[in-house]
Amino acid sequence: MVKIVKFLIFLTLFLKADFTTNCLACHIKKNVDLRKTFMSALLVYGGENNFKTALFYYCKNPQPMTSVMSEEFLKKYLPLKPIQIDDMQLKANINEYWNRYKIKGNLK
Amino acid sequence: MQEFASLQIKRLKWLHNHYPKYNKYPRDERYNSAIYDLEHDKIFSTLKSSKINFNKKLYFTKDYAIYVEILSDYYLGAKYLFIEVPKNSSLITKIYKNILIYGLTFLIVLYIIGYYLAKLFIKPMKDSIELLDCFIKDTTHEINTPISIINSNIEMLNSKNLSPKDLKKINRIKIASRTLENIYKDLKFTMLENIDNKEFKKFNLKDLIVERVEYFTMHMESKRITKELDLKDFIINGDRELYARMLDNIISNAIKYNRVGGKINIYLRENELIIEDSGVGIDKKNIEEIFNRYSRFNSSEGGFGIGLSIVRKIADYYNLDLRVESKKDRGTRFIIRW
Repeated sequence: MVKIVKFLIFLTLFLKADFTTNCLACHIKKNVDLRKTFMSALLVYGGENNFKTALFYYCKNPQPMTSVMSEEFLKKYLPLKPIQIDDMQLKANINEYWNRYKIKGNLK
Repeated sequence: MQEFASLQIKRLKWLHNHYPKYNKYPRDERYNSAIYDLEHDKIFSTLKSSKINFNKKLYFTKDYAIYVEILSDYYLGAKYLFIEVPKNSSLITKIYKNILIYGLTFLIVLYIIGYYLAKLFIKPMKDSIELLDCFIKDTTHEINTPISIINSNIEMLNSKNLSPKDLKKINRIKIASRTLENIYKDLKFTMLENIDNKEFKKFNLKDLIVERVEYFTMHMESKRITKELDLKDFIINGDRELYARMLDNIISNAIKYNRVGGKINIYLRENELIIEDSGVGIDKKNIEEIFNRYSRFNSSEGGFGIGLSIVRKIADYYNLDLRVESKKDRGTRFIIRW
């Protein structure tokens, strides 16, 4: 039992670290606020599953037409490059992204 | 409630733009509200009632009326906004009153537009029928004198002084003038006469049939049509002229739509008259419509298409049972029962 708990704690820490390196590092470098991006995407995609599916598809096939990023960002970073991490890791990162910024449960 | 929804949407938009600096869900003492995402997951709710219906614009619980607004922009990830107000009778009365007023107004407008359009579409047809009626009425007035002159002069001709060739020509003129006379009588009956003024008198129908068949003998001979009469005495009470009109129309049709060398059989028994021919017959689908005015299903012969409508009118006037049996290319049978 203790081993399982230890493994889960490790996995959580690993995924968080993974999100930090895979996503956050680059966004900070590009001076993109991940919260603002989240709110822009939420305005368009609404529900959790829809949001995650749309973001997954976008990371794999980024297109200016489907992007919620600002015009300045798109002008600066075109052409957009697909994210080079495996699907499972990407899904875990997107889950982490949702859990960090989600609205549900955070309103008073 | 729509106003409350608009107000709440404005507040949600503001919160969306200022989140997470402000994270207090907007509340209003006049109403409760809730937001749900497109997957029907609750994001936040201050509703008192637990019943949630995504498929209705407005619904009621025991104590509340709930209005549902669908958002086009998903502020805070919400697609559905529920506005809940305490149910009171004046609100519901107002809603039903509005539905009634707007519904009735819509129906009245729709009725007026429909009536106007129908009138617009029917007008050309109505105009043509009126024009045809006027034309026939005018023509009927003018046609009587020339027909009488032709008929009386033909009768005055001494056939003994004529050569067989001329006699043949005179007979043709006689047939044509009688056809014309028949048409005149039909038109006069349809356009100018009032059927209700007719007198009831007893007469023998057998005599009338013999007379009318005699009248059409020349027509029959011109098409080499043979006739077979099996007539028994039958006294009826009615207007002789009206019955003559009815017989003339059935017999003339039997001649007109018969083949050359065909046959016409007339049987008269107690309470039943049958007139049958060996003519072209009528399509089964058209049988019901042959009694309609101006309906003609065979363009090979002339006519206005009013003959059988006269037959129907007279039969109805005397409460007669009028039936038609017909087989295409075999012939038609008119059965009249008293």
